[in-house]
Order: sequence, then C-alpha cells, then structure tokens
Amino acid sequence: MTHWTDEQITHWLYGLEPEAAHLEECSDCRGRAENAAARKSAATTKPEVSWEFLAEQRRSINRRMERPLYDWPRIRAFASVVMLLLVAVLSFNLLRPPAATVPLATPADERLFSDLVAIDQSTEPRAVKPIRSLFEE
Amino acid sequence: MRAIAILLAFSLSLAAQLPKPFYPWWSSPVVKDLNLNQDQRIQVRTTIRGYRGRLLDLRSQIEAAERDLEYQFNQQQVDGVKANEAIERLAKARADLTRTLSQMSLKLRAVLSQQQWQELQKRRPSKGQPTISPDTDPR
Repeated sequence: MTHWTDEQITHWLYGLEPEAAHLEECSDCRGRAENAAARKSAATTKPEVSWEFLAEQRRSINRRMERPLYDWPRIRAFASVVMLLLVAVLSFNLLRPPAATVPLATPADERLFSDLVAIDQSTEPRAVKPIRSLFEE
Repeated sequence: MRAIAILLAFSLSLAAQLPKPFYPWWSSPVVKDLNLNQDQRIQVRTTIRGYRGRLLDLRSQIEAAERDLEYQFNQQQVDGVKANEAIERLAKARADLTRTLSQMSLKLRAVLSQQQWQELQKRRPSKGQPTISPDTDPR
C-alpha cells in the first residue's frame, strides 16, 4: 500500500481526489489529511468582527466625508506667515547697506607709496638739480 | 667737482637703465577692473602691510641721504670725502628701495592670475601719466 502524496492530499482537500477510500484504510494518511484540513479551516475562517467595531468604522468614514477636503483657514494662515517671512528677508537684503570693502591700502600706505613713486621717478638727487640746469638750454 | 661729476654720472646712468616706473596699482581705480576675489584682496593687503616697515625705513634713509648731500653741496668749502659718503649712502638706499619694491611687486604679481596681470599691463598708465591719484578710492 502506497501512501498519498502531498499533492493527492491537497486534491482531496479541494474535492478533486475521486478515490478517498485509502484514507479509511491508512491511519497515517488520514492523520495527514485531517491535519491539512484543520490548517485550511484555520486559514479560511473569517475573523469575528463585532457590530460595535463596524459601526465605529462607519461613523469614522462619515466624519471624514463631512470634513472639507482642504483646511482653508489653516492654509491661509500658513501662506500669510510664509509671505511675511519672504517680505522680511527681501527687505532685509534690499535695505541692508552693501558690505564695505576694506581698501587694499590704508591712506597712510597711499601717502607712503605716493612718496616712493616720486622717489622712484626722480633720476637725480635734489642737490644735483641746480647743476643740471647748467646743461639745459 | 669730482663729487658733482660722479653724481651727474650716477643720475644719468639711473635715467638710462631705469626700468618701468614703480606702479602702485592697488591704490588706483584699475583695481576695480581686476575683480580680485576676497582671498586675493587679503593677500595683497597682507603683502603691502608686510613691506610697510621696510619701505618706511628706506624712505627715511633716502630722505636723510638727500639732506646730507644737500648740506654738503651748500658748504662754502665742499668736502669731497663727506660728499662722496653721502652719495654712496643715497645710491645704496635707492638701490635698496628698487630691490625692495621689486620684491614686493613680485609677491603681488604671484597673487594675480595671468589674465589679471595682462589686464593690469594694458591699463598701466603710459609714461608721464600719474601712477597714483590723490583722490583714489580703491574700493
């Protein structure tokens, strides 16, 4: 006597196995089949839902349906705050005086370099200038 | 007379071999067109500040040597030795100034990009034009 395969047991569960006499003769296969039947039953049994739970669910759906899709007062308040912030930031940037650029040289440095340019461009000492006039027409 | 001849020769030789005049571009309006970035501006300022003390010393040395020389020239009896010493001091101080200004210019050149350097060359005042203006606003 050969035992049923899992596939045969599955077929039996769904009424597709025409020959079920084997289960009466074989206690092993009967045990497996009952086991499988119990698992199927547990998986397919609908959970118990209380009437109160369903009623609350319905009430909740109705409440949400009655509520407007957009909360306009809140959206308006939020938009106003955003606009105010935007205006504040823009005003701050527009009205703020430009950052003062530090000059590369201080006024004292400029005087120093002005003197140095004069020295650099003069080709003769001051003492010589009267002598040079002797050579100029 | 010898001192005078040496001085004239010195001044003529200076005139003959003088490189392009010193150009403090950082104090001229040209600096606006260079579009220096913040880092470059800091480097330029730091370089100028770094050389300030030395340049002040050199200006004083040159001024003192000029005064000494004028004093010697104005004597009833010109002391050739003392006059020559004053000439030497002046020549040395001027040489030191040229060296220091060139070294500072080299450092400042290193701060600029090639494009900025070319722009600076283009805008460099030609001979006879002032290289620095009293009412310059380098900002």
